[in-house]
Amino acid sequence: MSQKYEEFQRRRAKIMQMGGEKAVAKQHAEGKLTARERVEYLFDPGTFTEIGTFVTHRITAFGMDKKEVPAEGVVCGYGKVNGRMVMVGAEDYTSMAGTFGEYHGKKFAAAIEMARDMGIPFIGLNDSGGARLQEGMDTLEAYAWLFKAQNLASGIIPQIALLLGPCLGGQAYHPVMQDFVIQSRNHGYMGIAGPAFVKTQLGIDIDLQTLCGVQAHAVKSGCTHIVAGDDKDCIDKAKELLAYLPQNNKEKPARVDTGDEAMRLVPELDGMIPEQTMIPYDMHEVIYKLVDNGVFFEIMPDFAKNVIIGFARFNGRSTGIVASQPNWMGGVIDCDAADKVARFVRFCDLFNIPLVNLHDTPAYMIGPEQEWKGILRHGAKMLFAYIDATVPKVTVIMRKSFAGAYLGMCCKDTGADIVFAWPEATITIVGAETAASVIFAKEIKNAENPAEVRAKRIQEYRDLYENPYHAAARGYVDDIILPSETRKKICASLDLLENKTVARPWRKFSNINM
Amino acid sequence: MVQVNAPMVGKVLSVEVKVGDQVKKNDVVVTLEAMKMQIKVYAPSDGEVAEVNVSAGDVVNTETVLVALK
Repeated sequence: MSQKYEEFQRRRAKIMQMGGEKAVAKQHAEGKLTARERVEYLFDPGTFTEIGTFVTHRITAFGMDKKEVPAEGVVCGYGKVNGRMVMVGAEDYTSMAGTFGEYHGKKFAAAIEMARDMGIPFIGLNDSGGARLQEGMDTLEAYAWLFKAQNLASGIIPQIALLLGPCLGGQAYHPVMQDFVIQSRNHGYMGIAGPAFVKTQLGIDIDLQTLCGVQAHAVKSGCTHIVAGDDKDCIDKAKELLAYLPQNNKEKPARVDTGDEAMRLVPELDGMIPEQTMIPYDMHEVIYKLVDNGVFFEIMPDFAKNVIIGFARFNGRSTGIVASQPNWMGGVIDCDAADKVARFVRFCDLFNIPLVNLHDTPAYMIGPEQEWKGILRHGAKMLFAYIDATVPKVTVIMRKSFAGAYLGMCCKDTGADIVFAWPEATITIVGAETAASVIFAKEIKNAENPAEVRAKRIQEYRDLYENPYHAAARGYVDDIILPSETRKKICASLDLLENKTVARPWRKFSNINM
Repeated sequence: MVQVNAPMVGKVLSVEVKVGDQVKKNDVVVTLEAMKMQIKVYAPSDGEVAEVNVSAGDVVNTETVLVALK
Protein backbone atom coordinates (compact mmCIF):
# COMPACT_ATOMS: atom_id res chain seq x y z
CA MET A 1 0.00 0.00 0.00
CA SER A 2 1.34 3.41 -0.84
CA GLN A 3 2.38 5.69 1.96
CA LYS A 4 -0.41 8.07 1.11
CA TYR A 5 -3.02 5.37 1.54
CA GLU A 6 -1.45 4.30 4.81
CA GLU A 7 -1.49 7.84 6.09
CA PHE A 8 -5.12 8.17 5.11
CA GLN A 9 -6.04 4.88 6.81
CA ARG A 10 -4.23 5.88 9.98
CA ARG A 11 -5.93 9.26 10.14
CA ARG A 12 -9.37 7.84 9.42
CA ALA A 13 -9.03 4.99 11.90
CA LYS A 14 -8.16 7.50 14.61
CA ILE A 15 -11.31 9.49 13.93
CA MET A 16 -13.45 6.33 13.91
CA GLN A 17 -12.18 5.52 17.41
CA MET A 18 -13.87 8.71 18.61
CA GLY A 19 -12.69 9.73 22.09
CA GLY A 20 -10.70 6.55 22.57
CA GLU A 21 -11.20 3.26 24.36
CA LYS A 22 -11.65 4.67 27.85
CA ALA A 23 -14.20 7.29 26.84
CA VAL A 24 -16.16 4.77 24.78
CA ALA A 25 -16.19 2.30 27.69
CA LYS A 26 -17.49 5.04 29.96
CA GLN A 27 -20.26 5.87 27.46
CA HIS A 28 -21.27 2.18 27.34
CA ALA A 29 -21.16 1.91 31.15
CA GLU A 30 -23.77 4.66 31.30
CA GLY A 31 -26.05 2.55 29.13
CA LYS A 32 -25.47 4.77 26.12
CA LEU A 33 -24.38 3.91 22.60
CA THR A 34 -21.66 5.98 20.98
CA ALA A 35 -22.54 8.47 18.25
CA ARG A 36 -21.31 6.09 15.55
CA GLU A 37 -23.25 3.15 17.00
CA ARG A 38 -26.38 5.29 17.06
CA VAL A 39 -25.87 6.34 13.45
CA GLU A 40 -25.35 2.73 12.43
CA TYR A 41 -28.56 1.70 14.19
CA LEU A 42 -30.53 4.54 12.59
CA PHE A 43 -29.72 3.88 8.94
CA ASP A 44 -30.49 0.95 6.68
CA PRO A 45 -27.33 -1.22 6.61
CA GLY A 46 -24.55 0.15 4.43
CA THR A 47 -26.35 3.32 3.36
CA PHE A 48 -24.60 5.90 5.57
CA THR A 49 -22.22 8.38 3.95
CA GLU A 50 -20.32 10.70 6.27
CA ILE A 51 -19.55 14.34 5.57
CA GLY A 52 -17.05 16.58 7.32
CA THR A 53 -15.23 13.62 8.82
CA PHE A 54 -11.87 15.42 8.88
CA VAL A 55 -13.11 18.83 10.02
CA THR A 56 -10.88 20.21 12.78
CA HIS A 57 -11.11 23.22 15.08
CA ARG A 58 -8.63 26.08 14.74
CA ILE A 59 -8.31 27.21 18.36
CA THR A 60 -4.87 27.36 19.97
CA ALA A 61 -5.65 28.99 23.33
CA PHE A 62 -5.77 27.10 26.64
CA GLY A 63 -3.96 24.05 25.26
CA MET A 64 -6.43 23.54 22.46
CA ASP A 65 -3.56 23.49 19.93
CA LYS A 66 -2.65 20.04 21.28
CA LYS A 67 -6.26 18.87 21.56
CA GLU A 68 -7.55 16.64 18.81
CA VAL A 69 -11.32 16.32 18.74
CA PRO A 70 -12.26 13.47 16.36
CA ALA A 71 -14.82 14.66 13.79
CA GLU A 72 -15.14 17.77 15.98
CA GLY A 73 -17.46 15.85 18.32
CA VAL A 74 -20.32 15.51 15.86
CA VAL A 75 -20.87 12.82 13.25
CA CYS A 76 -22.75 14.20 10.23
CA GLY A 77 -23.95 12.53 7.09
CA TYR A 78 -26.81 11.02 5.16
CA GLY A 79 -28.26 7.64 4.43
CA LYS A 80 -31.51 5.78 4.10
CA VAL A 81 -34.06 5.12 6.81
CA ASN A 82 -36.62 2.57 5.68
CA GLY A 83 -35.55 3.27 2.13
CA ARG A 84 -35.81 7.06 2.31
CA MET A 85 -32.94 9.52 2.50
CA VAL A 86 -32.38 11.24 5.86
CA MET A 87 -29.64 13.58 7.15
CA VAL A 88 -28.17 13.16 10.62
CA GLY A 89 -26.05 15.14 13.05
CA ALA A 90 -24.98 12.95 15.98
CA GLU A 91 -23.07 14.50 18.86
CA ASP A 92 -20.21 12.39 20.19
CA TYR A 93 -19.91 12.69 23.97
CA THR A 94 -16.72 10.63 23.99
CA SER A 95 -14.86 13.32 22.02
CA MET A 96 -14.27 16.23 24.38
CA ALA A 97 -17.74 15.63 25.86
CA GLY A 98 -19.34 16.48 22.52
CA THR A 99 -18.79 20.13 23.37
CA PHE A 100 -20.17 22.62 20.91
CA GLY A 101 -17.37 24.63 19.33
CA GLU A 102 -17.10 26.75 16.21
CA TYR A 103 -16.49 23.89 13.77
CA HIS A 104 -18.83 21.52 15.61
CA GLY A 105 -21.51 24.14 15.00
CA LYS A 106 -20.43 24.69 11.43
CA LYS A 107 -20.77 20.98 10.65
CA PHE A 108 -24.15 20.79 12.33
CA ALA A 109 -25.50 23.84 10.50
CA ALA A 110 -24.09 22.68 7.16
CA ALA A 111 -25.82 19.32 7.55
CA ILE A 112 -29.17 21.02 8.16
CA GLU A 113 -28.65 23.36 5.19
CA MET A 114 -27.84 20.42 2.97
CA ALA A 115 -30.94 18.54 4.19
CA ARG A 116 -33.05 21.60 3.45
CA ASP A 117 -31.65 22.05 -0.05
CA MET A 118 -32.04 18.36 -0.87
CA GLY A 119 -35.49 18.19 0.70
CA ILE A 120 -34.80 15.39 3.16
CA PRO A 121 -35.64 15.14 6.88
CA PHE A 122 -33.02 16.06 9.47
CA ILE A 123 -32.47 14.10 12.66
CA GLY A 124 -30.31 15.53 15.44
CA LEU A 125 -28.94 13.25 18.14
CA ASN A 126 -28.10 15.44 21.12
CA ASP A 127 -25.49 14.36 23.66
CA SER A 128 -23.21 17.24 24.54
CA GLY A 129 -21.50 18.79 27.52
CA GLY A 130 -22.44 22.25 26.25
CA ALA A 131 -20.50 25.15 24.86
CA ARG A 132 -16.74 24.73 24.32
CA LEU A 133 -15.72 27.59 26.58
CA GLN A 134 -12.11 27.63 25.38
CA GLU A 135 -13.35 29.10 22.08
CA GLY A 136 -15.13 32.14 23.51
CA MET A 137 -17.01 34.21 20.96
CA ASP A 138 -16.37 31.65 18.20
CA THR A 139 -18.51 29.07 19.93
CA LEU A 140 -21.24 31.57 20.74
CA GLU A 141 -21.66 32.76 17.15
CA ALA A 142 -21.76 29.14 15.97
CA TYR A 143 -25.00 28.71 17.90
CA ALA A 144 -26.45 31.42 15.70
CA TRP A 145 -25.41 29.45 12.58
CA LEU A 146 -27.21 26.43 13.99
CA PHE A 147 -30.42 28.24 14.93
CA LYS A 148 -30.47 30.13 11.65
CA ALA A 149 -30.00 26.94 9.64
CA GLN A 150 -32.77 25.11 11.45
CA ASN A 151 -35.13 28.07 11.32
CA LEU A 152 -34.63 28.47 7.56
CA ALA A 153 -35.23 24.74 7.13
CA SER A 154 -38.32 24.78 9.37
CA GLY A 155 -41.45 24.13 7.34
CA ILE A 156 -39.37 22.85 4.40
CA ILE A 157 -38.13 19.57 5.87
CA PRO A 158 -39.23 17.68 8.99
CA GLN A 159 -36.72 18.05 11.83
CA ILE A 160 -36.62 15.59 14.71
CA ALA A 161 -34.45 15.93 17.81
CA LEU A 162 -33.42 12.94 19.88
CA LEU A 163 -32.36 13.84 23.38
CA LEU A 164 -29.93 11.06 24.23
CA GLY A 165 -27.73 12.87 26.71
CA PRO A 166 -27.44 16.30 28.24
CA CYS A 167 -28.33 19.44 26.29
CA LEU A 168 -28.07 22.41 28.62
CA GLY A 169 -27.87 26.15 28.20
CA GLY A 170 -28.73 28.09 25.05
CA GLN A 171 -27.94 24.93 23.12
CA ALA A 172 -31.22 23.47 24.40
CA TYR A 173 -33.08 25.72 21.96
CA HIS A 174 -31.70 23.46 19.27
CA PRO A 175 -33.92 20.43 20.04
CA VAL A 176 -36.86 22.58 21.07
CA MET A 177 -36.87 24.55 17.81
CA GLN A 178 -37.18 21.34 15.80
CA ASP A 179 -40.57 19.82 14.99
CA PHE A 180 -40.47 16.95 17.46
CA VAL A 181 -38.35 16.17 20.51
CA ILE A 182 -37.91 12.54 21.51
CA GLN A 183 -36.41 12.33 25.00
CA SER A 184 -34.72 9.32 26.58
CA ARG A 185 -36.14 8.65 30.01
CA ASN A 186 -32.85 6.96 30.91
CA HIS A 187 -30.39 9.72 30.06
CA GLY A 188 -31.95 12.60 28.11
CA TYR A 189 -31.87 16.04 29.74
CA MET A 190 -32.44 19.54 28.47
CA GLY A 191 -32.74 22.89 30.12
CA ILE A 192 -31.91 26.53 29.88
CA ALA A 193 -29.49 25.89 32.75
CA GLY A 194 -28.38 22.85 34.72
CA PRO A 195 -28.51 22.31 38.50
CA ALA A 196 -25.08 23.85 39.19
CA PHE A 197 -25.97 27.17 37.55
CA VAL A 198 -29.41 27.21 39.20
CA LYS A 199 -27.71 26.69 42.55
CA THR A 200 -25.18 29.51 42.16
CA GLN A 201 -27.59 32.00 40.57
CA LEU A 202 -30.78 31.29 42.48
CA GLY A 203 -29.72 29.29 45.51
CA ILE A 204 -32.10 26.48 44.62
CA ASP A 205 -31.00 22.89 45.23
CA ILE A 206 -32.42 20.65 42.54
CA ASP A 207 -31.13 17.54 40.80
CA LEU A 208 -30.71 17.16 37.05
CA GLN A 209 -33.47 14.57 36.65
CA THR A 210 -36.07 16.72 38.42
CA LEU A 211 -35.04 19.95 36.71
CA CYS A 212 -34.45 18.68 33.18
CA GLY A 213 -35.69 15.08 32.86
CA VAL A 214 -38.79 13.62 31.28
CA GLN A 215 -41.15 14.61 34.09
CA ALA A 216 -40.00 18.19 33.61
CA HIS A 217 -40.47 18.32 29.85
CA ALA A 218 -42.95 15.62 28.82
CA VAL A 219 -45.37 16.32 31.69
CA LYS A 220 -44.81 19.86 32.99
CA SER A 221 -43.33 22.09 30.29
CA GLY A 222 -44.64 20.48 27.11
CA CYS A 223 -41.25 20.76 25.34
CA THR A 224 -40.90 17.00 24.79
CA HIS A 225 -43.22 15.19 22.40
CA ILE A 226 -42.29 11.57 22.89
CA VAL A 227 -40.59 9.73 25.75
CA ALA A 228 -38.68 6.54 25.09
CA GLY A 229 -36.21 4.33 26.93
CA ASP A 230 -32.68 3.61 25.75
CA ASP A 231 -30.96 4.85 22.58
CA LYS A 232 -32.39 2.12 20.37
CA ASP A 233 -35.91 2.70 21.65
CA CYS A 234 -35.60 6.45 20.95
CA ILE A 235 -34.27 5.82 17.44
CA ASP A 236 -37.07 3.29 16.77
CA LYS A 237 -39.62 5.95 17.75
CA ALA A 238 -38.02 8.42 15.34
CA LYS A 239 -38.23 5.88 12.50
CA GLU A 240 -41.87 5.18 13.33
CA LEU A 241 -42.63 8.91 13.31
CA LEU A 242 -40.81 9.44 9.99
CA ALA A 243 -43.16 6.95 8.32
CA TYR A 244 -46.04 9.40 8.81
CA LEU A 245 -44.14 12.33 7.33
CA PRO A 246 -43.25 13.38 3.80
CA GLN A 247 -39.62 14.06 2.87
CA ASN A 248 -40.33 17.76 2.51
CA ASN A 249 -43.12 20.31 2.16
CA LYS A 250 -43.55 19.74 -1.58
CA GLU A 251 -44.52 16.10 -1.08
CA LYS A 252 -47.42 14.30 0.48
CA PRO A 253 -46.65 11.61 3.06
CA ALA A 254 -46.22 8.17 1.52
CA ARG A 255 -49.48 6.26 1.32
CA VAL A 256 -49.25 2.76 2.73
CA ASP A 257 -51.39 -0.28 2.03
CA THR A 258 -52.52 -1.07 5.56
CA GLY A 259 -54.93 -3.79 4.47
CA ASP A 260 -57.72 -2.21 6.51
CA GLU A 261 -60.96 -1.75 4.53
CA ALA A 262 -61.75 1.95 4.09
CA MET A 263 -65.51 1.42 3.93
CA ARG A 264 -65.53 -0.78 7.05
CA LEU A 265 -68.42 -0.08 9.43
CA VAL A 266 -67.66 0.05 13.15
CA PRO A 267 -70.83 -1.20 14.86
CA GLU A 268 -69.26 -1.06 18.36
CA LEU A 269 -69.27 2.74 18.15
CA ASP A 270 -73.07 2.93 18.10
CA GLY A 271 -74.09 3.66 21.67
CA MET A 272 -70.52 3.43 22.93
CA ILE A 273 -70.17 6.89 24.43
CA PRO A 274 -72.44 7.91 27.31
CA GLU A 275 -75.44 9.93 26.16
CA GLN A 276 -75.45 11.90 29.40
CA THR A 277 -73.07 14.64 28.42
CA MET A 278 -71.43 15.09 31.80
CA ILE A 279 -70.13 11.52 31.98
CA PRO A 280 -66.53 11.15 30.81
CA TYR A 281 -65.05 8.31 28.76
CA ASP A 282 -61.69 7.57 27.16
CA MET A 283 -61.47 9.05 23.66
CA HIS A 284 -58.54 6.76 22.85
CA GLU A 285 -61.02 3.89 22.57
CA VAL A 286 -62.87 5.77 19.82
CA ILE A 287 -59.66 6.63 17.96
CA TYR A 288 -58.41 3.03 18.02
CA LYS A 289 -61.68 1.87 16.47
CA LEU A 290 -61.67 4.49 13.71
CA VAL A 291 -58.13 4.36 12.35
CA ASP A 292 -56.46 1.73 10.16
CA ASN A 293 -55.78 -1.41 12.20
CA GLY A 294 -56.16 0.57 15.44
CA VAL A 295 -52.62 1.97 15.14
CA PHE A 296 -52.29 5.44 16.67
CA PHE A 297 -48.95 7.22 17.18
CA GLU A 298 -49.71 9.65 19.97
CA ILE A 299 -47.74 12.87 20.40
CA MET A 300 -47.37 14.51 23.84
CA PRO A 301 -49.49 11.88 25.63
CA ASP A 302 -48.58 13.18 29.09
CA PHE A 303 -48.93 16.93 28.58
CA ALA A 304 -52.33 18.68 28.50
CA LYS A 305 -54.08 15.33 28.48
CA ASN A 306 -57.45 17.05 27.96
CA VAL A 307 -56.71 16.95 24.24
CA ILE A 308 -55.21 14.10 22.25
CA ILE A 309 -53.00 14.65 19.21
CA GLY A 310 -51.12 12.20 17.04
CA PHE A 311 -50.75 10.44 13.71
CA ALA A 312 -52.71 7.52 12.32
CA ARG A 313 -53.78 6.29 8.90
CA PHE A 314 -57.16 6.32 7.18
CA ASN A 315 -57.23 4.16 4.08
CA GLY A 316 -53.43 4.24 4.18
CA ARG A 317 -53.20 8.04 4.28
CA SER A 318 -51.13 9.60 7.04
CA THR A 319 -53.52 11.80 9.03
CA GLY A 320 -53.16 14.13 11.99
CA ILE A 321 -55.78 13.53 14.66
CA VAL A 322 -56.92 16.18 17.13
CA ALA A 323 -59.45 14.92 19.66
CA SER A 324 -60.98 16.13 22.90
CA GLN A 325 -60.35 13.85 25.88
CA PRO A 326 -63.42 13.92 28.16
CA ASN A 327 -61.57 11.67 30.59
CA TRP A 328 -59.17 14.44 31.59
CA MET A 329 -60.54 17.76 32.86
CA GLY A 330 -63.74 16.90 31.03
CA GLY A 331 -62.08 17.65 27.71
CA VAL A 332 -62.10 21.37 28.39
CA ILE A 333 -59.52 23.41 26.44
CA ASP A 334 -57.04 25.25 28.66
CA CYS A 335 -53.93 27.25 27.72
CA ASP A 336 -51.64 24.22 27.49
CA ALA A 337 -54.14 22.22 25.46
CA ALA A 338 -54.52 25.10 23.01
CA ASP A 339 -50.75 25.39 22.58
CA LYS A 340 -50.47 21.65 22.03
CA VAL A 341 -53.16 21.60 19.35
CA ALA A 342 -52.12 24.77 17.56
CA ARG A 343 -48.51 23.76 16.91
CA PHE A 344 -49.59 20.30 15.79
CA VAL A 345 -52.15 21.71 13.35
CA ARG A 346 -49.53 24.04 11.92
CA PHE A 347 -47.06 21.18 11.55
CA CYS A 348 -49.63 19.09 9.65
CA ASP A 349 -50.46 22.07 7.48
CA LEU A 350 -46.78 22.62 6.63
CA PHE A 351 -46.30 19.02 5.57
CA ASN A 352 -49.51 18.27 3.68
CA ILE A 353 -50.96 15.98 6.32
CA PRO A 354 -54.78 16.07 6.46
CA LEU A 355 -56.48 16.63 9.80
CA VAL A 356 -59.35 14.80 11.45
CA ASN A 357 -60.90 16.61 14.42
CA LEU A 358 -63.05 14.81 16.96
CA HIS A 359 -65.13 17.15 19.13
CA ASP A 360 -66.39 16.42 22.60
CA THR A 361 -65.55 19.49 24.60
CA PRO A 362 -67.63 21.71 26.87
CA ALA A 363 -65.66 24.92 26.37
CA TYR A 364 -62.47 26.89 26.66
CA MET A 365 -61.63 26.88 30.38
CA ILE A 366 -63.02 29.86 32.31
CA GLY A 367 -62.13 31.38 35.69
CA PRO A 368 -59.37 33.58 37.08
CA GLU A 369 -56.58 31.02 36.84
CA GLN A 370 -56.88 30.46 33.09
CA GLU A 371 -58.09 33.99 32.36
CA TRP A 372 -54.93 35.44 33.87
CA LYS A 373 -52.74 32.83 32.27
CA GLY A 374 -54.12 34.10 28.97
CA ILE A 375 -56.70 31.60 27.72
CA LEU A 376 -57.81 34.22 25.19
CA ARG A 377 -54.36 34.58 23.69
CA HIS A 378 -53.60 30.84 23.88
CA GLY A 379 -57.05 29.79 22.69
CA ALA A 380 -56.67 32.15 19.73
CA LYS A 381 -53.74 30.06 18.48
CA MET A 382 -56.15 27.24 17.65
CA LEU A 383 -58.40 29.58 15.70
CA PHE A 384 -55.45 31.01 13.79
CA ALA A 385 -53.96 27.57 13.14
CA TYR A 386 -57.15 25.98 11.83
CA ILE A 387 -58.28 28.94 9.73
CA ASP A 388 -54.80 29.33 8.24
CA ALA A 389 -54.41 25.63 7.45
CA THR A 390 -55.09 24.71 3.84
CA VAL A 391 -54.74 20.93 4.19
CA PRO A 392 -57.89 18.76 4.08
CA LYS A 393 -59.79 19.01 7.36
CA VAL A 394 -62.61 16.70 8.41
CA THR A 395 -64.49 17.34 11.64
CA VAL A 396 -66.68 14.89 13.55
CA ILE A 397 -68.83 16.37 16.31
CA MET A 398 -69.42 13.38 18.53
CA ARG A 399 -71.13 14.87 21.53
CA LYS A 400 -70.51 18.26 23.15
CA SER A 401 -69.32 21.15 21.06
CA PHE A 402 -70.15 24.43 22.70
CA ALA A 403 -69.31 28.06 22.26
CA GLY A 404 -65.67 29.02 21.66
CA ALA A 405 -64.57 25.39 21.78
CA TYR A 406 -66.82 24.59 18.81
CA LEU A 407 -64.98 27.26 16.85
CA GLY A 408 -61.52 26.45 18.24
CA MET A 409 -61.70 22.71 17.53
CA CYS A 410 -62.41 23.49 13.85
CA CYS A 411 -66.01 23.93 12.75
CA LYS A 412 -67.34 24.56 9.25
CA ASP A 413 -66.30 28.20 9.11
CA THR A 414 -63.07 27.96 11.06
CA GLY A 415 -61.69 25.73 8.38
CA ALA A 416 -63.39 22.33 8.20
CA ASP A 417 -64.04 21.13 4.65
CA ILE A 418 -66.50 18.48 5.80
CA VAL A 419 -68.35 18.33 9.12
CA PHE A 420 -70.17 15.26 10.40
CA ALA A 421 -72.20 15.01 13.60
CA TRP A 422 -73.42 12.02 15.55
CA PRO A 423 -77.07 11.86 16.66
CA GLU A 424 -75.94 12.46 20.27
CA ALA A 425 -74.20 15.74 19.32
CA THR A 426 -75.17 18.94 21.09
CA ILE A 427 -73.93 21.88 19.09
CA THR A 428 -74.88 25.29 20.31
CA ILE A 429 -73.73 28.54 21.86
CA VAL A 430 -74.19 27.54 25.53
CA GLY A 431 -75.86 24.82 27.58
CA ALA A 432 -79.62 25.00 28.05
CA GLU A 433 -79.38 25.85 31.79
CA THR A 434 -77.25 28.90 31.14
CA ALA A 435 -79.26 30.02 28.13
CA ALA A 436 -82.62 29.67 29.86
CA SER A 437 -81.45 31.46 33.00
CA VAL A 438 -80.34 34.44 30.90
CA ILE A 439 -83.19 34.64 28.37
CA PHE A 440 -85.96 33.97 30.89
CA ALA A 441 -84.37 35.57 33.97
CA LYS A 442 -87.30 37.92 34.57
CA GLU A 443 -89.95 35.36 33.83
CA ILE A 444 -88.38 32.83 36.18
CA LYS A 445 -87.92 35.43 38.93
CA ASN A 446 -91.51 36.60 38.75
CA ALA A 447 -93.08 33.17 38.39
CA GLU A 448 -95.25 31.67 41.11
CA ASN A 449 -93.19 28.53 40.86
CA PRO A 450 -89.73 29.58 39.60
CA ALA A 451 -88.27 26.08 39.64
CA GLU A 452 -91.03 24.73 37.46
CA VAL A 453 -90.80 27.57 34.94
CA ARG A 454 -87.03 27.27 34.86
CA ALA A 455 -87.19 23.55 34.21
CA LYS A 456 -89.77 24.07 31.46
CA ARG A 457 -87.73 26.77 29.74
CA ILE A 458 -84.54 24.71 29.98
CA GLN A 459 -86.32 21.79 28.37
CA GLU A 460 -87.62 24.03 25.59
CA TYR A 461 -84.16 25.36 24.86
CA ARG A 462 -82.69 21.86 25.03
CA ASP A 463 -85.28 20.47 22.62
CA LEU A 464 -84.73 23.28 20.17
CA TYR A 465 -80.94 23.65 20.22
CA GLU A 466 -79.12 20.88 22.11
CA ASN A 467 -78.95 18.56 19.13
CA PRO A 468 -77.17 18.37 15.78
CA TYR A 469 -80.26 19.33 13.75
CA HIS A 470 -80.14 23.10 14.15
CA ALA A 471 -76.54 23.20 12.89
CA ALA A 472 -77.39 20.76 10.08
CA ALA A 473 -80.41 22.85 9.07
CA ARG A 474 -78.09 25.77 8.41
CA GLY A 475 -75.55 23.61 6.60
CA TYR A 476 -72.87 23.98 9.31
CA VAL A 477 -73.01 20.22 9.65
CA ASP A 478 -72.80 18.52 6.26
CA ASP A 479 -74.46 15.35 7.44
CA ILE A 480 -75.61 13.57 10.54
CA ILE A 481 -74.30 10.04 10.62
CA LEU A 482 -74.34 6.97 12.83
CA PRO A 483 -71.14 6.53 14.84
CA SER A 484 -70.67 3.19 13.09
CA GLU A 485 -70.41 5.01 9.72
CA THR A 486 -67.72 7.43 10.89
CA ARG A 487 -64.65 5.62 9.56
CA LYS A 488 -66.24 5.13 6.18
CA LYS A 489 -67.27 8.79 5.97
CA ILE A 490 -63.82 10.03 7.00
CA CYS A 491 -62.12 7.83 4.38
CA ALA A 492 -64.52 8.97 1.67
CA SER A 493 -64.00 12.62 2.65
CA LEU A 494 -60.23 12.28 2.47
CA ASP A 495 -60.63 10.79 -1.02
CA LEU A 496 -62.68 13.81 -2.03
CA LEU A 497 -60.18 16.25 -0.52
CA GLU A 498 -57.07 14.57 -1.98
CA ASN A 499 -56.41 17.38 -4.46
CA LYS A 500 -58.00 20.26 -2.61
CA THR A 501 -56.54 23.63 -3.55
CA VAL A 502 -56.86 26.95 -1.79
CA ALA A 503 -56.05 30.36 -3.29
CA ARG A 504 -55.64 33.28 -0.93
CA PRO A 505 -54.30 36.79 -1.38
CA TRP A 506 -50.60 37.18 -0.57
CA ARG A 507 -49.49 38.24 2.87
CA LYS A 508 -46.32 37.59 4.82
CA PHE A 509 -48.15 35.57 7.48
CA SER A 510 -51.11 35.91 9.80
CA ASN A 511 -50.28 37.53 13.10
CA ILE A 512 -50.92 34.47 15.27
CA ASN A 513 -50.99 35.14 19.00
CA MET A 514 -47.89 33.91 20.81
CA MET B 1 -45.84 11.24 50.21
CA VAL B 2 -47.51 11.88 46.85
CA GLN B 3 -49.90 14.81 46.84
CA VAL B 4 -52.80 14.70 44.41
CA ASN B 5 -53.94 18.18 43.46
CA ALA B 6 -57.11 19.13 41.65
CA PRO B 7 -56.29 19.42 37.92
CA MET B 8 -58.60 22.44 37.65
CA VAL B 9 -61.08 24.59 39.54
CA GLY B 10 -64.26 22.71 40.40
CA LYS B 11 -66.69 21.44 43.03
CA VAL B 12 -66.15 18.07 44.71
CA LEU B 13 -68.93 15.72 43.65
CA SER B 14 -67.71 12.65 45.50
CA VAL B 15 -64.61 11.27 47.17
CA GLU B 16 -63.99 7.71 46.08
CA VAL B 17 -61.37 6.70 48.67
CA LYS B 18 -60.82 6.84 52.42
CA VAL B 19 -57.70 6.91 54.56
CA GLY B 20 -56.03 3.51 54.57
CA ASP B 21 -57.35 2.41 51.15
CA GLN B 22 -54.86 0.87 48.75
CA VAL B 23 -55.03 2.47 45.30
CA LYS B 24 -53.45 1.61 41.99
CA LYS B 25 -52.12 4.12 39.47
CA ASN B 26 -55.00 5.65 37.46
CA ASP B 27 -57.68 4.65 40.00
CA VAL B 28 -60.21 7.44 40.44
CA VAL B 29 -59.71 9.07 43.84
CA VAL B 30 -62.05 12.07 43.60
CA THR B 31 -64.76 13.18 41.17
CA LEU B 32 -65.21 16.90 40.63
CA GLU B 33 -67.80 18.80 38.74
CA ALA B 34 -66.80 21.72 36.56
CA MET B 35 -67.81 23.12 33.19
CA LYS B 36 -70.89 20.85 33.37
CA MET B 37 -68.63 17.81 33.26
CA GLN B 38 -67.66 15.17 35.73
CA ILE B 39 -63.94 15.48 36.19
CA LYS B 40 -62.21 12.32 37.33
CA VAL B 41 -59.04 12.77 39.35
CA TYR B 42 -56.71 9.79 39.12
CA ALA B 43 -54.04 8.41 41.41
CA PRO B 44 -50.66 9.28 39.86
CA SER B 45 -49.09 6.13 41.32
CA ASP B 46 -49.82 3.05 43.42
CA GLY B 47 -50.03 3.68 47.15
CA GLU B 48 -52.00 3.88 50.36
CA VAL B 49 -54.30 6.83 50.99
CA ALA B 50 -52.72 8.78 53.84
CA GLU B 51 -54.88 11.91 53.81
CA VAL B 52 -58.24 12.96 52.46
CA ASN B 53 -58.60 16.71 52.68
CA VAL B 54 -61.89 17.39 50.91
CA SER B 55 -65.51 16.30 50.99
CA ALA B 56 -68.49 16.58 48.66
CA GLY B 57 -69.49 20.17 48.01
CA ASP B 58 -66.06 21.73 48.59
CA VAL B 59 -64.83 24.13 45.92
CA VAL B 60 -61.24 23.34 45.02
CA ASN B 61 -58.54 24.73 42.75
CA THR B 62 -55.21 23.55 41.37
CA GLU B 63 -53.50 24.40 44.65
CA THR B 64 -55.81 22.18 46.67
CA VAL B 65 -54.29 18.87 47.74
CA LEU B 66 -57.31 16.56 47.47
CA VAL B 67 -55.68 13.44 48.83
CA ALA B 68 -52.19 12.31 49.66
CA LEU B 69 -50.78 8.85 49.04
CA LYS B 70 -47.88 7.09 50.78
